[in-house]
Amino acid sequence: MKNKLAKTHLRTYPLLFVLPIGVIFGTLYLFPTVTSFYYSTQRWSLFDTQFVGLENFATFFQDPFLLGGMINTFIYAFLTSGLKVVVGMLLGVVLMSSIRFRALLRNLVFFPVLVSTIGVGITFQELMKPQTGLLHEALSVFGITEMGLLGDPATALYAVIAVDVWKGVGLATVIFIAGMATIPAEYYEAAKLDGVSAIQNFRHIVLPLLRPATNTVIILSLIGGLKSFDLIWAMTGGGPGFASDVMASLIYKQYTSGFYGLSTAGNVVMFVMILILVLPLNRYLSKREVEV
Amino acid sequence: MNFGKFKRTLGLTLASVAALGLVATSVAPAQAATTTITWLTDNTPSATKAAQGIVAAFQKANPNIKVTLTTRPDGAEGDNVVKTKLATKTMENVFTYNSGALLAALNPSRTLVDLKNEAFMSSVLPSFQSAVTSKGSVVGVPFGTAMGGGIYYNIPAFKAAGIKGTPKTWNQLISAARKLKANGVDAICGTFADSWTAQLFVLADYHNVQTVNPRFAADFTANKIKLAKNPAALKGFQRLEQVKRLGLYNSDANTATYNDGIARIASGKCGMYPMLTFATSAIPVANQKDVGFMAQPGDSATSYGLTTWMPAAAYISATTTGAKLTASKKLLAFIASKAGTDAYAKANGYEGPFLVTNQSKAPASVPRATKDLAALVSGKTTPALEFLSAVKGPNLPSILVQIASGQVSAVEGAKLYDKDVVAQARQLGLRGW
Repeated sequence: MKNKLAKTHLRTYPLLFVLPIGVIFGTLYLFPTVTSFYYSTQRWSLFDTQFVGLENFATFFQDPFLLGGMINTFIYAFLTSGLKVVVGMLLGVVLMSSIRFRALLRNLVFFPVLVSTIGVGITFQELMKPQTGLLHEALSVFGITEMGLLGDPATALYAVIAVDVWKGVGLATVIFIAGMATIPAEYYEAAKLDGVSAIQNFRHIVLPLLRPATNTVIILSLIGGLKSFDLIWAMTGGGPGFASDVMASLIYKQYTSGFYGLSTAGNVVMFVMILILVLPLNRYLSKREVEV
Repeated sequence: MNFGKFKRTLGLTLASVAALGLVATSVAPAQAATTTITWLTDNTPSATKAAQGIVAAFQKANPNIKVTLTTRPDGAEGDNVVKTKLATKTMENVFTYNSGALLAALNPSRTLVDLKNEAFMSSVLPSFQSAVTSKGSVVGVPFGTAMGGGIYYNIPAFKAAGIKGTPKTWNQLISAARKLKANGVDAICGTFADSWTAQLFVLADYHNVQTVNPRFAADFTANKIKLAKNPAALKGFQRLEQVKRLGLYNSDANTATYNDGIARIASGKCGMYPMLTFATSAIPVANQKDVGFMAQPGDSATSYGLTTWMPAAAYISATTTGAKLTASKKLLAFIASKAGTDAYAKANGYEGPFLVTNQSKAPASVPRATKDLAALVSGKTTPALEFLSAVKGPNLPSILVQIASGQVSAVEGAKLYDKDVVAQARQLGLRGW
């Protein structure tokens, strides 16, 4: 009897440690997530709800701007993710080498990560403004459009992407540096004995052993890119017109228009879409990881 | 903490709360029955200033009533604050909010106090009453002055370009714009970074639409009209397209803001700026003599007239009862009285005619644009569509920016907007959608 009690105790004891965060997670994440499935089937005016079945989903998919928004979402997610991997890894390699002012440079690269996204957005909006913006004036030497990068429907999204990469690449760099720090020195020494070049070193030692870090950066920045909203909203508001709208900004606009059920349905769609995209990708990437 | 002690503490706390309650109820009648009510208004400088002026004057006239003023954000964020407060029954006693199409989304017959039988409603002009009527209830009094949607023009820039008088037809407007451009100024100011400003050519064209089709609003609400197939309604979209095609906008129209537009029309950097007349008070005093205001001309000079906008309204939340309700009604009666409009004009400057029968007179010196507005209001006018129909699609600003930046044609844009209003009509549960 006593033995059995002790066993129960052993089983429940660790749960006690999980409980506080469990309560927070349950009330702030799990509960809203589950209720959002309910509200996505309702016509919801905040005052009352009325069951409408899948009408919200039908309306959401009939939205004439959805397709453009989806395409922009994918462009945004894959470009920012890809650029963060490439630029972040290059910066990581540079900042691992013994260059001067290494500590200072590492700090400078990481600094934008710490700044408020809205602040960054408003700052770059001013910098890119025609006639008065410093960045616009500097770039106009190369003959960029008179409308301004954010004013030209063809360039607005890419201007935001560039700022997103500038702001987020510091985090990727730190992850790569941490990954490189775990590569044992023996590999390099052995390679040195074999007389390999720096490029071979990078290609056959750093790159494969950095795969866990690379996967982390890909997954994190891809999810971040797919649901990205704040920077786009601060810089263009989705405009001009709908030229830089992504799914999250379209859903936000539906929400502010008072379409609460419809925007909840949109969020459910986005949730499922990210799951479908990221889960298999994560599995595929983890399979290719090698043990150090 | 041991549980016994906790129970004792809890008991003590409860007892003292109860005692406080007793004290409070026994003291209240002795205090000459001062009633405190709350008022929520938006945080734009003009609304805040006006509300503060009204509160000061009202409290002077009613020493037994104290009004606590709080503010909320403007725009879409403010819409959500108001809806959330009403839905959770935490709304202030009195609040100010848009009249017209946006009001319908508040479920007014359930969340607001019906003022239909109040004596002070007889001083509110019928044109405004219809903008705050929902399912038979009349729920608000006007807070602010009548506005016009039209076009500001810079008088020195017009003179320098050799333009005589103001255009009375759309074709005259286009030829005036060409002269302005030839004279080296931006003919028409586009400020599409604030996408709502792109709506003026379409919304302010409604006087011309209704002149051709008097039943337009009713038919549109009943889903009998599609804008893309209605030649009169399509014109507003085509005007935007034409101005873009002729290169009459400023080159940075897509990134310029409303504030840029005001500064440029004041300085004469651009010749015309389509806008609502609430912007007059934002024009620097030194430039006010240089900026005139005209209605948006249509195809014929004989039907030239103004599309008008109703001001916001003050409402009482249905959660208000008893002495607070009586006091809140007194406040609304004051807002709709001559003394209320005097306080408004004193705090905010005279912006145009109020929508009550007995009201503050225009002072001797008002901005040029305000004089122009007064003259237009006494001519032919039509309320904007949003005061005649609850159907207004949320994506109109962005769609019009698409047209004005050459991404889609006028007809394509109108088709997109026809689709956009469907979601809105369904959300409101309107028939025929």
